[in-house]
Amino acid sequence: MDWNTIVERLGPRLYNYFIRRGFVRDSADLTQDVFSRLYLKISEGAFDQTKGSLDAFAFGIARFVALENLPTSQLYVLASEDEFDWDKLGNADDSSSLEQNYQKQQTLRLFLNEIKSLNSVQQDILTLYLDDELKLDDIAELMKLPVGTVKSHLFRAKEKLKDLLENKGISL
Amino acid sequence: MNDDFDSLKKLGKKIERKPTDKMVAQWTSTPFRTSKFSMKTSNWWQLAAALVAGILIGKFVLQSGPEIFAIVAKNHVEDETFEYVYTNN
Repeated sequence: MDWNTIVERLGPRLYNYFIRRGFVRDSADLTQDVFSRLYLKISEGAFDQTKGSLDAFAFGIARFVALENLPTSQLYVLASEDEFDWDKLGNADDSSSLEQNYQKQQTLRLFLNEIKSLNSVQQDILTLYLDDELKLDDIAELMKLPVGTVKSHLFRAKEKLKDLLENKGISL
Repeated sequence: MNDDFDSLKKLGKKIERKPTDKMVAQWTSTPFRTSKFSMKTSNWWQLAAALVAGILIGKFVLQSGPEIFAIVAKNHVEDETFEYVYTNN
């Protein structure tokens, strides 16, 4: 797999992972950081396909980068929403109408506010699982936890988030 | 079991944002942006230059033989003598 294919496949997913973690301002830069580290690790031969997927390997780096930068996360300053230009995050979807995009933006804001009520492990697992392609096995592998533990954390996170979001009119 | 969490995958889709083309272009150019790759190449030149310099210095020292050490020792003795004379007069 060449570098461009890796970026095309992982770039948007890593970018959205950082947004879900609350790095709304720095998501693009942090994704760049992951790619720098990933490139170096692949060049050094640190990635072993027999030990796990490239997705799990890349998201493992992303999780580490997120933890490193957590104190500066924008998740906790979203109260001052006017300071942040949400259009800088890119479009929700090219084919969606302006109203649909606005709805998506509101859902994201609400999600970022409500996820704070989960504990850090639940946040960690949930934000990884919301990725379109990451499986429970991948998350278990990159978090060095048994799959059963990941499932139970995810279940609790889902139940808690469900109540919180449904109170705000978003079904889960 | 994964079906239990399908609604979470859907939520992920709902809050997804599409990165701009500029962002993707920056990520794609990562290997060329990070200097680590090019530095590795230049390190070879630095290493080769240091090696050649080391050989030349080593050759000079060996060719000079004990004389070079004698010069250093003589200077040292002269310095000490000067210091002794200077402080005792």
